[in-house]
Amino acid sequence: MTMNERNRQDEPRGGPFGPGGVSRRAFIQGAAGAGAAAAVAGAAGWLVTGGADEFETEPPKNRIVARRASGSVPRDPGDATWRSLTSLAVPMLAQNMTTPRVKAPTIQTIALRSLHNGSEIGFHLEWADQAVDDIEAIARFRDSVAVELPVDPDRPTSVMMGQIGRPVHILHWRASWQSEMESGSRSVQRAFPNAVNEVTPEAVLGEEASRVYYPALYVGNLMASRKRTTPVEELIAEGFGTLTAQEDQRAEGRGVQSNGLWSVVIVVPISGSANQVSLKPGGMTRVALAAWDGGAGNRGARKQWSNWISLELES
Amino acid sequence: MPEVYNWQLGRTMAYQYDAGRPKRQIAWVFDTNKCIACQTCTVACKQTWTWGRGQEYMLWNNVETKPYGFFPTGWDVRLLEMLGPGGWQDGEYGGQTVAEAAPQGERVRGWLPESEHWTYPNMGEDEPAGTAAQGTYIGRLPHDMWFFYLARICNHCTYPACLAACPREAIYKRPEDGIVLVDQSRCRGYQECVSACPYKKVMLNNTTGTSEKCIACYPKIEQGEQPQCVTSCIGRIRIAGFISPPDVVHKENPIDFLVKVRKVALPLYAQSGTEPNVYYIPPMHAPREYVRQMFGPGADAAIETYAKAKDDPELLGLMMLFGSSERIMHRFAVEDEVARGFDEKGEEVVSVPLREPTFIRTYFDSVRQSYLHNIT
Repeated sequence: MTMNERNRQDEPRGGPFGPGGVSRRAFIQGAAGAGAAAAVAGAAGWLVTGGADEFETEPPKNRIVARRASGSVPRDPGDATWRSLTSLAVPMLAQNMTTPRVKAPTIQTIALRSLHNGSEIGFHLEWADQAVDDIEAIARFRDSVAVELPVDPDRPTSVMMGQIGRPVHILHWRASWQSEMESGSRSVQRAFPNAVNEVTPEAVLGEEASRVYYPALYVGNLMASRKRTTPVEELIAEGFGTLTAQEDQRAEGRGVQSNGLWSVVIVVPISGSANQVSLKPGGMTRVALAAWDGGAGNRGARKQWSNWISLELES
Repeated sequence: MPEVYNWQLGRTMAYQYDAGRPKRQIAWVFDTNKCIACQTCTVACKQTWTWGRGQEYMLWNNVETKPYGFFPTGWDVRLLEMLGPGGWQDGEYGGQTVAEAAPQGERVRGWLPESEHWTYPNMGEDEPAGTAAQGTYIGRLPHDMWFFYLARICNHCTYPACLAACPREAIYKRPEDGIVLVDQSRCRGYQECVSACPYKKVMLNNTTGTSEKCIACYPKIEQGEQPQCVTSCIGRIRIAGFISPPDVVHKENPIDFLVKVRKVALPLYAQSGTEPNVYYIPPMHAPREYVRQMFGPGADAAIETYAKAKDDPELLGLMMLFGSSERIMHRFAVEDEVARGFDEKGEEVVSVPLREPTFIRTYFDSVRQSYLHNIT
């Protein structure tokens, strides 16, 4: 066997353990097929897609109830209301369904709590991470955590970023965005405090005209935003590689790191546009988590993920 | 992974996507023998595209001294180490490409430079390799003591590793000219492309949090003009044009003539398997082992053909057209000691004599009763 053959044999060929080298386009085509299969299978089928193949999962083993709060949902992770709730220990898995993968998971468990007040729902997430990674720069990545919900609680979808026609709504908190808000400066200024740029486009052309020299900013990519008002980004996805920022950004949140523990709160209205979740007190949906350890080089698909968890909103 | 044909390797290879060659492919030829590392190209590029904050370290175009210069540090040494010994037999590459050498769970075998790797663009500048005893007369090729300048831009590869590695498909190759671009609205700064590119020509913009790269001055190319780095080159070492697909040769096309007819211009580290589209005329004076490692098994023949250019009117004429016009030359012709370049419509854009006329004056000017310093 040549090296090439051996290497290619190592690549998985679809099946439940991943699409391997299948492109996103091929994956979406597979997922679209999976969607049709789901329609035939009926409402019982909660699907996990694995490239061209798909399979039904059992109903989620884990279940959490979002307790009803009388007042507002607290933004402070240290608030006593959060501490009074029982947490669910959510096991986290290394992402190995698609490339690139994470080799060894560094985040094993997230303690999840949830609370709603009839108009907002909040998630409290807590996990062990010894280092604070809150800078995004050259070869530097940030700690972050995300909550995923099916846009339509009645339409089953893949836990792996949803699938075509069955989108998921994702709420992504980033340590870097929060530190940018709190410090009032971009990551880069803390990564390279002594950087010198003698002539900037701003100085020559003014703030507005110089935007063209910051193409990601110019086209409205939230990554490049200079005015962070929240550390949480709202996104929509319909399969691997389709993750896209929501037009309507409403989510709030806050993270605190102490004693080797990240505690993060993410709060979002329980209903919104057609691309956002629509929940009701007394209703059921599902929730899944993802977490990134910036110090371990986690970003994008290099992450820890959980399977679906049943989520009930206390009436 | 699909199998695609890579003509530079003389074989098929595994790649993330099926082959989809563009309608036409932009390509460059750089003559390493003429480059003096004045960095005018670097400055032209920098002033045009990367003078913003977050781009301070970015050099979409750079010129490094070989063998001890790198930007980023050690990029090609790392590439060669990752791929391991390969070897060529009858024009076919026997080793692994960056896609074929991908570890399990990865799309491409790569490495992610840290900020320190991007800190020393002038490392090794003018630093020679080899030794020569004092008083040695360098009268033969290759030289005992040597270095050369390697000008580098994005190779706008046919099978880009950056494109293969992006899990979001935020990198695309334009069908109209083969230019490889990062979609600035889709990029989320994962830096998978930075890690994957064997030539390390994708870089993270620290201010916008997205990856950026050489855009081949596409606004100029769309107007039929050559990129800034080409037209600013005072040594006239560069030419940009369109290369025909592997099975097509248009002898009158400048790029085809250099790459496929005379075969004096060769891809840089073709063993990466990305089918890079910047072709180099290898340095005549550097040790052949080094040159073959960098430019492949065609290096010896390329140098021999290049050395005889003065007796090859077509090759000499085409070399004279380098840097002679801002316009992209789709066709060239050499006749009666004059080389002419033509644009896409077939209109002549420039004509250049193969040899500049030379007049030699006598050393002593009898009219002015004085000696002359400059007699040619």
